Amino acid sequence: MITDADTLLATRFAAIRDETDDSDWNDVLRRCAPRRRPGTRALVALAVAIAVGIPTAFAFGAVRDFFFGTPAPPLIKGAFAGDNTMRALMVRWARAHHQKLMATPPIVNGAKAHGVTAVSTSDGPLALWAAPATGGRQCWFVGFENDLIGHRRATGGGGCDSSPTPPGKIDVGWGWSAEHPTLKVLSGRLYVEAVSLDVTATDNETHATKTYRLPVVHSYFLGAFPRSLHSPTKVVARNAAGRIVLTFRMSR
Amino acid sequence: MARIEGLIEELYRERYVGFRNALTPVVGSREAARDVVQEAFARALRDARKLRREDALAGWIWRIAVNIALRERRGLAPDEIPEDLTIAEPERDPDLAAAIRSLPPRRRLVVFLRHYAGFTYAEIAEATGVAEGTVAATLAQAHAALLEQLLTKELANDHRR
Repeated sequence: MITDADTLLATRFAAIRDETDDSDWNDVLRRCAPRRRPGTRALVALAVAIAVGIPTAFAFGAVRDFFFGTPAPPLIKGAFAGDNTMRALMVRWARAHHQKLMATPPIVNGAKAHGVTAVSTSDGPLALWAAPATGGRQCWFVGFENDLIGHRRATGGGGCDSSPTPPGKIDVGWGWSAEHPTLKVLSGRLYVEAVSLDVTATDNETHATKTYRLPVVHSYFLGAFPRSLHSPTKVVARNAAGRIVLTFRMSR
Repeated sequence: MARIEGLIEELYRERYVGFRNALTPVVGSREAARDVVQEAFARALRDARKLRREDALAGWIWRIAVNIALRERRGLAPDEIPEDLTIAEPERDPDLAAAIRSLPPRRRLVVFLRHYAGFTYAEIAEATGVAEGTVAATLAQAHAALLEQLLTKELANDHRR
């Protein structure tokens, strides 16, 4: 028995509701992706690949160590400087509101920013840049090379060592951005002596669980994966002898 | 930012059909409504950083969708609800369609948000830019008017039988 107007109307509406589900999230992602001119994009990717020595034949994860030490372009240096400004504002805000910060934020020397590792992706090269910071710390920034073209500031993200002696053995970031909706990026830094990182994750579409090996370059790691990959469940770092030096379970 | 984008995807997967059904009367067909929903969620992803509160997500995306539907599809201003707004297939329930048409357009939209899109009162408030109490009052008035018409019609039908 229907006892109130809400229920009666809900019943009438339910009877005529169209329950056809013609949703398509991939279509949303395609509409969201920035529209670039294909010719320009290919040329830019090729130019960058030549410049940093990234083989274009690989879909994901190809790495060239000699990217290490490449001076960062001005936009990347600017991104580090921008982070300094943000952290300074945070300190001022904390002081003004008598809030205690968990740790004194570092000041990064963006002028010394340099390339650490780069991988080739379907959206062009993805690079991790690092720069020294106060207190012997380091900061890093991850961004797509193509995003630097025609932009006034670098888009991307990164982090800094939480203290001169970070409490954890790994600092790991996992996510995706609206600018690169078909890719997920894993990046971060290890505080143990390691040369590789095994990443275990399940694909949402195929339901297959695989382990991907990423090289560790001067303590940093970087990998790009298809968007369908779920958050990694586990990462395992190995040293040059192949021994496990760290097992880290990632929370979902 | 990735968290917001994840929430947008979650909302899409859970509420796509409701968004499309609520927009169908606004744009006139399911296909056009689907296109508006797809575009609205794509724009939400692009502008994710503009979202101020996570609990405002559904209302925020609804406003994007309505702007697309009214401004781009029908050439109307965002606050100009079409006068001919009615249920998608009126022949399936002519009495309900007639009752809906008797409401002011803005009130009809609130009813669609409630019964097609499954919005909570708080989400309707966010979507329409009014206080939650106003939503409750608007829905109560709309329900009373609809109920009166539907019951009157049923009584008339009974009398004829």
